[in-house]
Amino acid sequence: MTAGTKVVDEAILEAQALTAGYGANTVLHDVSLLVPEQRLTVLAGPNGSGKSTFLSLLSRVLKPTRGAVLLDGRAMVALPTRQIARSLGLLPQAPLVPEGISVYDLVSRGRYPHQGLLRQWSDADENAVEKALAATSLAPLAGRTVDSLSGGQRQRAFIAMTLAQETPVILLDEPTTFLDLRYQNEVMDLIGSLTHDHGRTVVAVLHDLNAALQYADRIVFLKAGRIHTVVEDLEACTEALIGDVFETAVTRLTHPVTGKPAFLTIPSGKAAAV
Amino acid sequence: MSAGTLAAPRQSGWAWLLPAIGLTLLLSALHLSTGARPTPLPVLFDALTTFDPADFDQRILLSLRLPRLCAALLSGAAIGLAGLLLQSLLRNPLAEPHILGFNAGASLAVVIATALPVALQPVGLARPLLAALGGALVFSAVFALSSAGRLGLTMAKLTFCGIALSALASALVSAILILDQETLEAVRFWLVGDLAGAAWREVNAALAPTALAASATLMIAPRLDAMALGDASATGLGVPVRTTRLIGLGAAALLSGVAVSTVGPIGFVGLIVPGLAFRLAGGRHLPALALSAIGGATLLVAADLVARSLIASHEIATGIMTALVGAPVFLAIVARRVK
Repeated sequence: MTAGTKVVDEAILEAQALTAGYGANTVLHDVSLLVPEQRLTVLAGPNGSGKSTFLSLLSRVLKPTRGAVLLDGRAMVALPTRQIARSLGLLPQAPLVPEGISVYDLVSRGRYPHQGLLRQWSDADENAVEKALAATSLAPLAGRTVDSLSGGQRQRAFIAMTLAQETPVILLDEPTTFLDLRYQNEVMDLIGSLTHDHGRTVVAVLHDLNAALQYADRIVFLKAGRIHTVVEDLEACTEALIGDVFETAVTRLTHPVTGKPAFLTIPSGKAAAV
Repeated sequence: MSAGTLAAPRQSGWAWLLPAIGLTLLLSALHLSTGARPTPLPVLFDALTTFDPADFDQRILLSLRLPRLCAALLSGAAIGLAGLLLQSLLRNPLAEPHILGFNAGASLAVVIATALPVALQPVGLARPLLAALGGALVFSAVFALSSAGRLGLTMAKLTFCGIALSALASALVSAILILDQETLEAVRFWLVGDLAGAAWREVNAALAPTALAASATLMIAPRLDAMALGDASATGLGVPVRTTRLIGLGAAALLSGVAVSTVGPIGFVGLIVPGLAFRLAGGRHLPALALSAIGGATLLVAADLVARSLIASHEIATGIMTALVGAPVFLAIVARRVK
């Protein structure tokens, strides 16, 4: 399989031979990837495959030991962090909720990179926040405190904050973890609409393979700190590929409603029967 | 939903500012007129507008009570700002200059300096700066010690290391004072936090460093709002997290150094006020910092007022009053937040 060699014309974000780790422990080895514009790219792979580390590198939260990340063709280390924040938004895995703040206040914090010491709250800020609240159906809850929201509403509020940042690129780290089915679905619908309705380029780490398959335009499979396969056409997701990436026996189905592939694991005692 | 109803939650953080300022003014007036020789308020107006050096009441006001009030206001505001900075930057509701070693370090630095031969003793601006340096050194040790180990920095470890190293620095202070009677006499009251000796000299020396640290704090206030969402979120929003933490901790060291060198190591004001101010400001740092500074000033003036008037003709050290109120608050936060 080819890994990251496919030429994409409008790559807005590019990873060049990234190597990174924590201390002496190297987690990611020489990973290169072009992220196409206005597509939902999903990073998938087993635990410890380096997908969250990869996202941390793309979002400059972690510095690579080797390699570089390019944003619109320019090395990110050379750009002021606030300028990057006007092009690239991030929703980390477990953001903190300050005690007692309202939904409106949380979402308005997404405007930070657009404000300056002298440039105070403007109409543009107000519009961005209202649009973000509308897009996430949170306008009626704007005055509520974030701690009083359900898990799905809270995650939508954080996505709204990232939307209010008005960046062409949005990075999401496991946005559906800890949510039950209904909220997972709610958040995935919203993430799907970020690209299709709002024209954003989205890169998301997703734990749930089947959710990824229903919404993604492109799936990057990572394994043991390297890119295993980049899938553009979901039909290329075969039992052999998924079985190899996750090191477990799976069977492939076709989702009766969406027509997209879905996978079920096979209990180890029955694997021989398939 | 209209813009008007949406905008409302943004402004509510400032609602408590005016009442807080009013309370400060009221207590300040009370503070000035209270004492062994009660002074009616009109005398204050006269003293400020048409000063008459021959008037005994006016001289008491301008040379004794006004500097004491200004020392209390300035130091209280500094402690309030330092406490909120530390609680936000370390995400620890127990973070406070007194608990994290800033006060003990600053005291040690001041006591060592006082024990030096007179020619070497720091004067003017050097005194608060030296206190800030002492506090910063002890806090650095607290931070390094509590960050070590597999778990990294936790709320409990930071608090315990702060208390332990504060005890160590206090023991060193005691050792110096036992060996040096002269220094003991010079700092005996100051060491428990006392405003009785505050004069214009101390207040003037404190002005510039307080202004510098307060401006730095106001500058990073919007960044603190972003950092409240976690370091990764803040980075995503374009906040230089490490630089901001360094600026904030430096400002906190300077502010607590100023307070210690002016009124002595006063505890618990930085614990009680910032948490309340943050909640009243709806979790936004700019109004919370303003409220915390005003609240700190108000609480210290109130404590000094009580310390001066509780037992007629005797003065209890102000630091003892803040500890009496503060210790139960500390225990309440521990019971609620530390598992």
